[in-house]
Amino acid sequence: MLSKKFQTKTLFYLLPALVIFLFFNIIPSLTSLILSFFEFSGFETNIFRKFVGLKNFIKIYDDKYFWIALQNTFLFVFGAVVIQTAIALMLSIFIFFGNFKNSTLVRSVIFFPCVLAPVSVGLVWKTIFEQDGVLNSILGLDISYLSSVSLAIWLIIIVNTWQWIGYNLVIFYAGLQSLNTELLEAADIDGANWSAKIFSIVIPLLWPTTILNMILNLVGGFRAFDIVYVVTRGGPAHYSEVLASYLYYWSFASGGPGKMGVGSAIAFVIFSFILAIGLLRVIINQRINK
Amino acid sequence: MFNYLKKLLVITLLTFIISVPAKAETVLNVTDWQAGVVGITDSYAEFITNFEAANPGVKVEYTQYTFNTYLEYLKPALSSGTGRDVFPLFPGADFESVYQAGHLLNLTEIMDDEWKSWLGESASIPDLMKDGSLYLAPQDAFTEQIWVYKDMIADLGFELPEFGDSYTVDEWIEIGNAAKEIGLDGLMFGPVESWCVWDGYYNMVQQLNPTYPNDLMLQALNGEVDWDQDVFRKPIEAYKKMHEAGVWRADSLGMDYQVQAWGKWIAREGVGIYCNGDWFNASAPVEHNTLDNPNIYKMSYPKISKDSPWTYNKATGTNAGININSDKRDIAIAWVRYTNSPEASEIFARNGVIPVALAAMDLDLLAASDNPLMNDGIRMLATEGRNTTIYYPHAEEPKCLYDGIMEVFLGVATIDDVIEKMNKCTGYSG
Repeated sequence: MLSKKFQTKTLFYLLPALVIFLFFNIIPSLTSLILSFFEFSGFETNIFRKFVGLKNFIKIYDDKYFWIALQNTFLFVFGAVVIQTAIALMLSIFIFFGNFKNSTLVRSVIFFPCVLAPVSVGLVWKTIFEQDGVLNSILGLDISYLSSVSLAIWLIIIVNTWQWIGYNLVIFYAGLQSLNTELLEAADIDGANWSAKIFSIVIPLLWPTTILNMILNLVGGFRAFDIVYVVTRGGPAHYSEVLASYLYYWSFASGGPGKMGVGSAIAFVIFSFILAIGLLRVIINQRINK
Repeated sequence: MFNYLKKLLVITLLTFIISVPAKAETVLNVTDWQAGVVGITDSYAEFITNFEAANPGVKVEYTQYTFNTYLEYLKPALSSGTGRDVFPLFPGADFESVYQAGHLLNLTEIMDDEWKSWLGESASIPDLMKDGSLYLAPQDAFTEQIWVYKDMIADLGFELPEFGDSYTVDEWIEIGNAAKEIGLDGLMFGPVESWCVWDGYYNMVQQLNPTYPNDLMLQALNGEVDWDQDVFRKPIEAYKKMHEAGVWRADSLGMDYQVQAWGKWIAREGVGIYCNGDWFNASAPVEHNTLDNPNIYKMSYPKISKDSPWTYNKATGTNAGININSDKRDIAIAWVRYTNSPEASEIFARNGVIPVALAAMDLDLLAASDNPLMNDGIRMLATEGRNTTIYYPHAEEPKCLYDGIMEVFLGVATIDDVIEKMNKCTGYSG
């Protein structure tokens, strides 16, 4: 049991962080939630002037581009959680057990895109994917990748994976370094081949690290905005939009509808998904711990 | 603990004392979205110098945003009551919303006769007015059209249309095909910026408008007339035809106008650039825009057919509003008044920007600058013909139109789908 004095002191030290969290997270989130029930262009001083009930939610429900954005968001999250994590895991195992002479250099090269600004990365890749860009020049093709309804979102996923794979790799690598090597040595003595060692010992032991990477990628996936905005700006015709970019389009884009109430409704949907996944994670954790 | 707090308090007080300016001055905050538009930036630099010299103790803080990021600043600023003293607005939906929110000062009530005389007819531009009063002071005027390199057109074996006229859709397809044969584009096009699609569409609708000068486009966006008419259908057909014929490259659909399309046109990858305007008069490649080598030609949007009437997109660029909550209202009024003065108009003209206060200017003198593109812009502004506005006060209806035309380009919707969607979107009930 903590003493009352200690509790007061702890609270005092936590206060600045709590105040900041309250003003920059809790209050804006609640305001945004409330705003989703109002018609608000973003210019009004009295933001709660016109209550419209569920109209903003009905509007997004009827908007086919919202569903495209939702589908793309899940594709993006799938790309980040499954594809990116899997590739990073394989690469880290390969580099760790490969005993390459320059493995540090290889890791640095893979990690390097993480330190670049997503805007720079997006612009470079945009140039690569242009019709007269590097990719078509190398392949001798004339494909307009970024104007393709079906390709655009996948290209964004590829760019995102390329940029952040090094981040996951570093975490996996740290996990591999902390593995109990005696288990692997024991497996060697028992005559286990490399695939048995990887799939029956290494990957199961790396499971907590894998979960950590997946959660980081999942949250990052739902928050994705910059890379989408820079590479395609949600186009062509909203077909590569994700929820965050579509929220921006409704709220702030020049030439957009300028309806922040609708944008807030989309924000509420994103919040709900992240909250649901967060709760799911807590429940799963509790069951595992039991 | 308390010693620490005392130290913190002393440091805070010292910082405050040091940061108080030695001499009190009134700071007027002015903003716009013209970052990257050389003519405007240079003009404003001169305005500030002159205004500060004429008003001792006043300092003008001028902050620029880009076209794409302006609303990110403006919305939170106005809604939280921290908007700048003077800020411009796009006519149309943004103006409508800001006016409704009550942030704008009524300029008609405070304009003196001299100020009105400078603006002439521009003091009563409908796009900038509400209930018979002016709320936005226009500063620069522009025409919006297609720019082409004359030498490229000649190399492809085509003749330029008469000044003020334009090529037809079919002629553009021929030019596009000829350009493709030598590895060029007919037109550079940046439809990621939605206005780039609307503005050409509005132009083509006005070409076909049987009730001109009645604005059929406005009626359609209001949901007062059926979209299932040739006047609304044919412009989409024209767009589709040009896209499918490859007048612009397929990946234009992922291009923005201001950076990519403009950049590629500057690099001479295309013969013309679609939806360009006088705002780039001072940003055009200098070697192609001298009196000795006026190699850039302005022509209106594509004509639906040979007998379509000449139709122009004419509008105002920066339209300054005065924040009704500004505590420096008098200085803000003086500033906006100054930007409409003959002195400011001359500065605009010297920097390749067409001033809107043309009533106070000698047009012949103005159209004899050493910037051929500006001279052509002024000539085009003065040209008789059909005009179309590019600003409508609707928020969602133009979005539906843009989405529909883009889907036709992408092949995921038919023209019938778009027409049906527009009737639904505008609430036309038959």
